[in-house]
Amino acid sequence: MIPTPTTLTPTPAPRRRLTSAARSRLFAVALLLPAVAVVALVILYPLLMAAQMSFYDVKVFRIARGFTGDPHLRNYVDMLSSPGFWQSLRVTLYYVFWGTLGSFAIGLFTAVLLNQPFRGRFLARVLIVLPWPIPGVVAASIFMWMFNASFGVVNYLLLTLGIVAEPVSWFTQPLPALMAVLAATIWKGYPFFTITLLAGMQSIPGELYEAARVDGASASQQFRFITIPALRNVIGISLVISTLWLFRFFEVIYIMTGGGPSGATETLSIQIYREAFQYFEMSYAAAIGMVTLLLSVITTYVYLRATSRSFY
Amino acid sequence: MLLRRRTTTLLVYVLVILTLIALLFPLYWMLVTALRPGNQLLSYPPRFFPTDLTVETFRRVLSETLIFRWFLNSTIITGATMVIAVPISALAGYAMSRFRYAGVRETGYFLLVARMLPASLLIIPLYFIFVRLGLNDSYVAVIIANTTFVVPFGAWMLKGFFDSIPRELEDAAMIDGTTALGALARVVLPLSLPGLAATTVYCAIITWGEFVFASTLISGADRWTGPIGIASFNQQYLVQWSDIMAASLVFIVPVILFFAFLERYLIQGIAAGGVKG
Repeated sequence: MIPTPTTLTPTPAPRRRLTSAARSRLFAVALLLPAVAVVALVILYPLLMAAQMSFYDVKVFRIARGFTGDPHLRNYVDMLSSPGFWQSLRVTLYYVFWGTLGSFAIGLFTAVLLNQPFRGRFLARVLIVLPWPIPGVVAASIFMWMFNASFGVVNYLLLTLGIVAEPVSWFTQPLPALMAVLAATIWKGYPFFTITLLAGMQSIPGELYEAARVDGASASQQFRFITIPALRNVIGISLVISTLWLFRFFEVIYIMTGGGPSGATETLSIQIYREAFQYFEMSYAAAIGMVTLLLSVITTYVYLRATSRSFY
Repeated sequence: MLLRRRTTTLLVYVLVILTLIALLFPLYWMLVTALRPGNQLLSYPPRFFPTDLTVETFRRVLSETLIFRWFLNSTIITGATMVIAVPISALAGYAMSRFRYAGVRETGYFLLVARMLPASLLIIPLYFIFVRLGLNDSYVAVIIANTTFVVPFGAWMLKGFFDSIPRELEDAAMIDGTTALGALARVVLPLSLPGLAATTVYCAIITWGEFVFASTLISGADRWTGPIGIASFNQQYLVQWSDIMAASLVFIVPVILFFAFLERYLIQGIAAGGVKG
């Protein structure tokens, strides 16, 4: 290590002055402070408060009184013995799995397509990722209209193509409702994969492909033995981000079905909100929230462990 | 060989066009629905290339609903959130990009974890806190909540942009007698204008479409933001789909314009924040 000039020549310090290293450290702290303060105040503190709430019985009408009585585990016991919670957990896993898989499949396909050299590629890229900035509420509204039972374009196409014999009532049956919600979710979610996977593909050194071609590898072999392994980290991290995003995704389901019919689309994120702001069971909702958080943390850990081997 | 390459190119074009048709159909359908007369019975069976287009629905939505007011409210909330969030993100992103002290990295991860928390969980304690502070039903509460949600995104995105600016430039400026803060303000920030613009737009897009905080913390219809107003159409007894589509379209015009102009930088930022994050 090369010593910095200040440590080499001890300056006579008439007043107490900070060394340049200490000053620069202080500068770093000062730069980070506002972000940490704001995040700690509005995320960390509420999070701790929610954790605390989950051990009490807080009702919305008694906000002023705050926490009363002794801490207990009743909310957690109630939750674990409630069929509604377990159904919601199943729905969440199903929703997150298919939502991520669907978005990933379309994202990978579009990224491969956009990685080909062709004229108008930039325009095509803007258009393909266009659903990304569309607000969830708007996406939900469009898909509700397309999946409308009487006048929707989806039923029209299915009827015309002879896939169904009579109009599907999408939002009154469990599986169709989930499929409609997933369609909107995947539509909103795939551009993220397009963007990250495309960036990943473009950073793979071209020599790898040249070498493979010299050795006579076919396009599909190149894809399987170079592209996918080289993208391993990118794939892993974008899967984690997408999974966590779907764990907490809210407005598309909330607008399209509100969690219905009979809980078929009620993910944990929706259940938390309904318990808190429709039934005013704040503490019970906080308990579900804590479990959701735990699930997200476990998922992240498992994914990262599984995918964090590097290729180069 | 040449023939084969031509066939491949042709295949790529066909695939691109089919993909675009499939993926952009929902947006096309929104446009077509908004431009048709409101009566749903007239619009079935659906026509994919309708000729009886009219702006009647837009006129009705703009004059008979509070959409202008919601648009304005969204603008106020988004604007204020950006003014607060972007400088905070820039400072944090710069620290994460330049300093390797113990704690800086951890702070970065702390921000990363913070952005993963479900909003529907956070809104419960936040609701309590804002009620106690007397800030419920106020824009201030929504702005604060939004700020915290976008700062982690913004900081990570800007870190990616700052990483691409060579350190030597600041060193040179500091040898010339500028302070560290001066180097940041006069050398780094001007060079990262595209990054700052992209981050601002990225955060603005998230705030513009935010639903959970605004719908829980604000009650009066004249104080709603765009997404809550649009959602309220869905809850009416007789849903007027052309009205919803027209209102949605008006609401997403700024988003699409900003996105189209800054797409290149935005994509760079999302990829950097996602890939390196």
